[in-house]
Amino acid sequence: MTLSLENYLIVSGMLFAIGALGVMTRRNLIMILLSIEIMLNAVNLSFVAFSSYGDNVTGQVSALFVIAIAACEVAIGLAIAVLVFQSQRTISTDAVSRLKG
Amino acid sequence: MTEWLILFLPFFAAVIIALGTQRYAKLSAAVALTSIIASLILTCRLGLPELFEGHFSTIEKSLSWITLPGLSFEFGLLINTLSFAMLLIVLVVALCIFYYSVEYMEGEKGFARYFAYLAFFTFSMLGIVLSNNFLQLFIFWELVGVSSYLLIGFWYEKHSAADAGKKAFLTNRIGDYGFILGIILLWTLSSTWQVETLNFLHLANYLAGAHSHSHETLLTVISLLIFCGVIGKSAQFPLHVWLPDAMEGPTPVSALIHAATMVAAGVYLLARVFFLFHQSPLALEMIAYLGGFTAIFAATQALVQTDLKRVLAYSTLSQLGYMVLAIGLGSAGIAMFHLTTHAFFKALLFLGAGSVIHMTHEQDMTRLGNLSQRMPITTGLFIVGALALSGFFPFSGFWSKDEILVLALHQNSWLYVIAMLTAFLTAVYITRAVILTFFGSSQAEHGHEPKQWMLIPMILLAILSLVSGFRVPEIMHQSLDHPVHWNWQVAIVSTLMTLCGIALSVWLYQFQPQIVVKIRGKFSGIYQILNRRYYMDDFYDWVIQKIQAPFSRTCSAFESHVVVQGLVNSTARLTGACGHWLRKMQTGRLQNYVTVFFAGVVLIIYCLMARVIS
Repeated sequence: MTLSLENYLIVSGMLFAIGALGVMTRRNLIMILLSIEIMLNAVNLSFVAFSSYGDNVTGQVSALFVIAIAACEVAIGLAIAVLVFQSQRTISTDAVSRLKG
Repeated sequence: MTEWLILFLPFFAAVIIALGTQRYAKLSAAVALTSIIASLILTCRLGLPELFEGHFSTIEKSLSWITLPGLSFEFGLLINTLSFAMLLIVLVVALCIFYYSVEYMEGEKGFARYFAYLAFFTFSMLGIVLSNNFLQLFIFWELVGVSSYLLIGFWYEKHSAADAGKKAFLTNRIGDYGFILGIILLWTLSSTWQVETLNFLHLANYLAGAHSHSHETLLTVISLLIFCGVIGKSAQFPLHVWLPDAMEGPTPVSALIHAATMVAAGVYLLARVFFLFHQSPLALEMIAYLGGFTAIFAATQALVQTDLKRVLAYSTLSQLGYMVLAIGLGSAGIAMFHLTTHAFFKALLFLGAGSVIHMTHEQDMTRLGNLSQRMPITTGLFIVGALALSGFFPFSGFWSKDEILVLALHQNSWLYVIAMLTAFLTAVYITRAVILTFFGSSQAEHGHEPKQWMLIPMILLAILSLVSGFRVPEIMHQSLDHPVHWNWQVAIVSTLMTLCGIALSVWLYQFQPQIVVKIRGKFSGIYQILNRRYYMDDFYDWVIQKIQAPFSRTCSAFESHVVVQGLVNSTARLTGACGHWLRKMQTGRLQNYVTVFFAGVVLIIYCLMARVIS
């Protein structure tokens, strides 16, 4: 059997939903960052799938950009997490509310 | 240009004094006096010979002020025979009083302020005299009220003076409320007539040419409402209570404002807009009765007053009643004639009283007496005024009062009897005042003749009180209406009345003072009623304290409990509650926002999909 575009897209959508659910429910900063990574990769998957089925390399190029940016984002996000941990001794988002209006 | 200058020169003087020369007392007085003299000279040049020859031509100058569709207001001056004569009266009396005040107010702390107020008053009064439409007249009417307030309360540190000022102002406000309602009503009526202005001449022309009298009821209402303003300003019953209290002001002020000019402004207004009142016989009848009633009502109170100025104040009320009576009987000319003579002799009487007060520092007649030896000239001048007031032949008061009596005899015998009785009472109370002040047993310690600053104006006014009975009636009648015929019977009866009054008063107060005491003891009830001014002030006090104050407290309670607590605060609470509830959405937690955001995205996608599928 061959995998159709729909199969890829369904997996991609499920991954995105899992990531989004993680962002919404998790309180741990690291876990939220990881969930965002999952969402980004879900999008990457759909880009690549479209690219491969549509005979168009633009999707793959976009995926590469997304990976690069995700790397930057993780670097900054982890750095923030470390600093937050240093100052607050926790990385729960509930505790980090000093800038709340 | 001349006309505008006449009006505005006193205003400029007031401004100059207030802004510039306030620190220099003499200079301020000079500025005020100069402005009045200049105004008077300009007025005389405007057409004094024509006035006396009887062919004064009407001058109207007006600037467009507010133009609306269906209505235009002007700011203008209308000088006809009536207003020109009034202009002369006001300026001549004002000049006398300005001149007199220089000595009377000498050394006062607010000397410059006094002259500024006085000049401002003159400006406002000239405004009333010259206005060519109702709205402008009303503005000046109020300005006159303000300057009257300022001058009554001139010695504002004195509690009674400050209170009297307030009382005068508030009482006038009641009348003016009716006045402005009348003006508004007239405005609506004038737009249905297509006149679309409140200009006196236009309205008069329209009413003169109007055939139908379909608006007669409305005109009566308008007339009576406008008359409300007159009741306030000219201190007619029942709003007369402020005038006796207004005597708290400096005496020259009482002479100028509360005797000669301002209180007469009401009568002048009636004469000026007589075309309106002419349309409504019912309104005129009511006016006549009210005037007659005020005349006798005030005269009886003047009988028992012990304060010299208050006697004159009640006498002013009574004489104003005469003028209003004359208007009510349909003759504006006779009313204006009496206004003229009254302005001169009442100003004279007040200035005489002022001399007494200035020299003895006493105005209670029971503590005065026998001043005729120390102040012979003042006594003589005061007696001239008193004789003119009581209508003694050939003083001016005789002629004007006689015309009113003849008019009353022809039209309404009740009012004739009242007017005759009032003439008798007038003679009694003014003779009483003369005797208690200038004759009888001496009680005042000091007092001597004032200097020329005070004497010259009095002499001038005395001359005017003597001669104004002769040429004035022709001037007044040629513009307003025809004179009444000379009636020997009335003249003889009124002279007899006056003589009886004078004789009775001389006999009682000069020769038999113990009888006065006996009468007072016997009729203590009546004496008490008169002395308490018919309990009018007590009645107003009662109304204010027992009716008006509880009513306003109820309103206040309604306002604070129902309006503020109920409506305003509950609206605020509802808004607050909504905000409090909505605040929960703003948790500050990023994840809640993200959840809502995703929920929104899902919703949008769902909607789009549903569309695509269907």
